[in-house]
Amino acid sequence: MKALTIRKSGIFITLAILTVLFSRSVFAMDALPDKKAIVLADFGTTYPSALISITNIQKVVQKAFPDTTVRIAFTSNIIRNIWHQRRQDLKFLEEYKDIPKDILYVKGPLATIADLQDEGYRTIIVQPLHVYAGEEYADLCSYINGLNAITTIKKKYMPFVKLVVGRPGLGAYGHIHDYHKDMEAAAKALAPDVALADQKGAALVYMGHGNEFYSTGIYAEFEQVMQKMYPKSRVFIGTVEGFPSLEDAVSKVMHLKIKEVLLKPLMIVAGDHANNDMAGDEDNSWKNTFKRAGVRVECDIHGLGENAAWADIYVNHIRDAARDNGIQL
Amino acid sequence: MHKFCQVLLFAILAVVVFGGAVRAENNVVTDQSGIRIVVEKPFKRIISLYPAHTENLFSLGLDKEIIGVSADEAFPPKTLTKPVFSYHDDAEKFIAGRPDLVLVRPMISRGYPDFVKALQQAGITVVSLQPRTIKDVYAYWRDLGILTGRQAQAEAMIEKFETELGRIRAIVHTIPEARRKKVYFEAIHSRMRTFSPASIAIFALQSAGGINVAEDAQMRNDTNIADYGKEHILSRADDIDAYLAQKGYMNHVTVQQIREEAGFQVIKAVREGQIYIVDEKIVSRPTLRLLDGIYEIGRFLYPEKFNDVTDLRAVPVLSRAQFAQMFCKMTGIPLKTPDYRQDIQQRSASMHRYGDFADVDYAGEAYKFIETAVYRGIFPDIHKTEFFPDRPVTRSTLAYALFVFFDLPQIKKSVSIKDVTDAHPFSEQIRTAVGLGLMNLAQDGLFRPDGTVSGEEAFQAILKARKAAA
Repeated sequence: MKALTIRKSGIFITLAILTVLFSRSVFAMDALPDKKAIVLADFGTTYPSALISITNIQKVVQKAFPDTTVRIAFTSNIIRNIWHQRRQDLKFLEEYKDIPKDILYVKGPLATIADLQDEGYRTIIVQPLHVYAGEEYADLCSYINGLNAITTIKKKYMPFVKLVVGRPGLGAYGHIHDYHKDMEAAAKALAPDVALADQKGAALVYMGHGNEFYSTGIYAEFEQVMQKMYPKSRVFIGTVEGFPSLEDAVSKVMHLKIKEVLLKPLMIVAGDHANNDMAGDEDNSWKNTFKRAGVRVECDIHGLGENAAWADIYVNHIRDAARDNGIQL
Repeated sequence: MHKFCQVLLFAILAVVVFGGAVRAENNVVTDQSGIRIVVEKPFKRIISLYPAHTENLFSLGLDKEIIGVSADEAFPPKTLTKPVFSYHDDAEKFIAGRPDLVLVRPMISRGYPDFVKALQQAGITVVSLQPRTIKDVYAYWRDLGILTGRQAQAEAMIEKFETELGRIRAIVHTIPEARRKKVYFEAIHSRMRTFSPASIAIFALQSAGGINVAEDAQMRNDTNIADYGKEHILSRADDIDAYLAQKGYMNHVTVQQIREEAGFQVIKAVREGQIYIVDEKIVSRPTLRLLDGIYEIGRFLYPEKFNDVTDLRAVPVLSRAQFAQMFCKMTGIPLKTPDYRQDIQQRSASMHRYGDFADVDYAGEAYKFIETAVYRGIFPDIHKTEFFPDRPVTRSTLAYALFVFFDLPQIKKSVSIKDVTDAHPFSEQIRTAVGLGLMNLAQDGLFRPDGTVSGEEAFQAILKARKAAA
């Protein structure tokens, strides 16, 4: 019994010595620390007045994860350069005091992730502020996959512990998170838009972005989800590029003999598309296309980012990405 | 007698020598690279690598002689039918086109000397021209006339320019000096640059009755552009009645961008919403369209003078062309100037594109209002290649235009019109115009959608629509 105790204490001492040695050796070899961060990736905007859509989402996300660093990344090179120039503009800085440093020093997703990694953040959730899983989302995932392909000889020198991507607003492909549920949540978040259109006695027509490289059928599907959720209202969706088109939306409106529509961008930021393609003055703007068909038009030029409920969608998607990957935020 | 002979001989000699010299000067062009070109016979196969050259060659009445133009040119519409060349292309492509003259500008001759040399070695004459100041514009047009054997047409261009300019100056003359507006004319927003005081753009501004607040701007390296700086602009904040910006390759700017520029809120023009954007193509280029630029600036600064429609109001049966002009003037719609990428390339082939109308004269006066109105969508059922400018404008077109352009309120009670049923393609537009009292029914209760419109009727309807939408 005594011998066993001695042996036990021997093992304990050995373990203790080993632990100390091991941890010392770890410190000595400068192992990488692990802090957690969230990157919100968006195309970006140059208009200070439109920035609210992005900074609003950042605030909501930061509030939901108060102990986690939240950074913004803009994917557009041109837009980033404009903000960088403004850093030198004292008048600009004086006038727009509220513009966060994050925006003035905004970088692309790659550089933002690299900076975080440099600062010791090795668990990073990249949350795209995209509406649906299209071209930009695919590109972003490709960046992340590229970074995750990095292997080091010694595992402890791996640049990232976890580097993961959240789902866009309307969800992404896969069986873990049913995109139908994401669409339902999105439709719920848009209740204020439906109420606004109802109040004006108008049908709600959204302008989505879309693209020409993927099927953008999700917009058509989402239109139906909206229609089912708000059966007493009329909701239509068209896209700038892809299906359904503006013409599709117009023909539905005409078919139903609707006399008035409320146009709204189904985009995070109310930028050039909303101001020019949608509410512009030319004959082929969405506004004038409806008016030429004898339909009265009102434009609501506010991005989805200004809607707190829409921002919450991204909070939930970050939470899911964390849970799925065993990340504690 | 001997002395007389001497004088006579001297006189004859002088005539021969100087006369010869004058004749020689009539066919000599010295370009901006300092190259002297003696034009033995007019050039017949010309490639133009600067849109202003192209536009001027067309104004000189050339067409088949123009065998190539630069990329993204859109005016006059015939340029769209010409093969495109670029100084980035291999010189071989040019040589294969067998031009006898390639017209460039100093930016190209200075920046791409190897390209120019390769053309010259192939026996092609390369001429580099670009007038910087208004003084040089007439000489430049004359040079193009010499190169192409169109001296008389060059003089006619100058005469046309002076006549039109005289007309604009007569309007400006009616504005008292004390009421003339002080203007800052932006060339490049991001660098806070303006135009140099001797530039063509400042000439345009001043010809339209604007006073340039940046008279003290220093020209940058022999260009049209001058540094000014934000502090400098802001030091004149209270003086600036109107803020004018050119838009084009050099300056992709929007009114919103100017309005949101930090510090600019102290500028009087920004505070009062007097920010205007004008296409670089009509204010910075040495072409006849500079007249449009001057006129456009005039419309911005003194709309009551430049948008006057008194003569149109007196027209008993308004034509479609006249209606386009009246509508554009009364609503202050900025003139549409075609941009190749946006207004031609990005529009589907089935849509009308700037310059498509075979029955509109694109060297005349009416086209600019017609295309502006068409691009604004105020004419229904636009035929791709015909506008029918001389046909009377119909009552249904007037109702349609009011509905599209103005954000009209909903009519309070439904309107029933005997000759406009639900099946009429513009029933909604017509009912709105009648319901809001913008247009009236005849005593027999008919609207007569295909009826004609007098200048006064159109005038009153537009006026009422503006009030109803306000």
